[in-house]
Amino acid sequence: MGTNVLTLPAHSSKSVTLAELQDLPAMGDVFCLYRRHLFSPTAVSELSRPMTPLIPLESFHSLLTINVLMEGMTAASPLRIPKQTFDTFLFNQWDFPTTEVLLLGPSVQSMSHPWVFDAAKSLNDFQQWEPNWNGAGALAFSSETLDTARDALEKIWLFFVRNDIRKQPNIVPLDDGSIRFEMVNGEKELFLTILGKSIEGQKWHPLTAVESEYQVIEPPVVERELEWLAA
Amino acid sequence: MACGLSSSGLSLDANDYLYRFVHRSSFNGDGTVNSGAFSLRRDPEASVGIAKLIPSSSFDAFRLLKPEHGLAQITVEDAAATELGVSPQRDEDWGAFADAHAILTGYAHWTNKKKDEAARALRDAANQRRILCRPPNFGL
Repeated sequence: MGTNVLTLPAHSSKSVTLAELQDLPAMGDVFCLYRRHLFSPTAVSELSRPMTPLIPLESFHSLLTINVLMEGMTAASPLRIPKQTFDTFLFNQWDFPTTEVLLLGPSVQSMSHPWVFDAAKSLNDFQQWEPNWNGAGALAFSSETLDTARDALEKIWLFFVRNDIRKQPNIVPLDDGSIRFEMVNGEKELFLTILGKSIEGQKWHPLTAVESEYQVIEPPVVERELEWLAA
Repeated sequence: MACGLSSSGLSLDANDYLYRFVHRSSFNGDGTVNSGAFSLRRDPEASVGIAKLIPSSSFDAFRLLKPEHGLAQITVEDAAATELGVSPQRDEDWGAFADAHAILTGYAHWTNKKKDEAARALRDAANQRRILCRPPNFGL
């Protein structure tokens, strides 16, 4: 198996084994989605959340080090992935609920710039920031805030991909220890500001509007806010 | 629009420029600033520099007060449009520029909604004006 794997049509799928995966050459922008968890062969995470620790799945090759990059589990339900789960990989399979693992390659145009990895790395970086990170008394980011932000990021990314929204969100760390996603689509702007388990949703339409529609929402209804952005 | 005399006796006009130090994380990858640049959530006295008290010949020295930050600019009118006041307030931490220090005022009792609306409006104002400098490794 070689680079031809990466040129499969977006909606095709192919099972490969771990042994075959070991033979893959440099994988560039390829990244993987395992259920609610994203990981990248080329992105080595230093994630060290206490309740959902980084789980190095396997290391095959210097260019194919697969680590869990972003985890969506809550603190109450820590992630445990047995290595044997990864005996089979499916390539370019979009309908992932029935798929254990996906590898999404550069042949999928909207995935060719996986901003989600930069975003996930930023969230990991925030975890290391000490109080007063901005030199003006900013608070550090709690594990709970980061957990909620990671969950939100995953939903945002999947939503953006499915709705072909190309303008990536800005991730904004704020001085009160909250994390904001700033998102623009057409004449609409949405802020999702996360602190602990709380999410504040704020909408502007049109972009020239000053006053917003504001509400505190529960994490499970993030998609509803995103639907507004795409509608 | 004249904003009158402050307690320091300094008169600020609507068209007076204000400098805002911006942490690198409040810059987007394209060099624009995001709403974090003007976050009013925690700091009850967000600092700005009064441009007319910072001679252009001293601009580099001013910028180096916070070498890891960038500098954005808005006007007094931009702040007033969001119902924020500007009050000169000497700050010894600013050294030779202590008298150029001012704070944004009037938001202590605002809700997060209103604070964030103001931060967004100031973000847009700063992006429409010229970003004066960007810090090393800006963006996330």
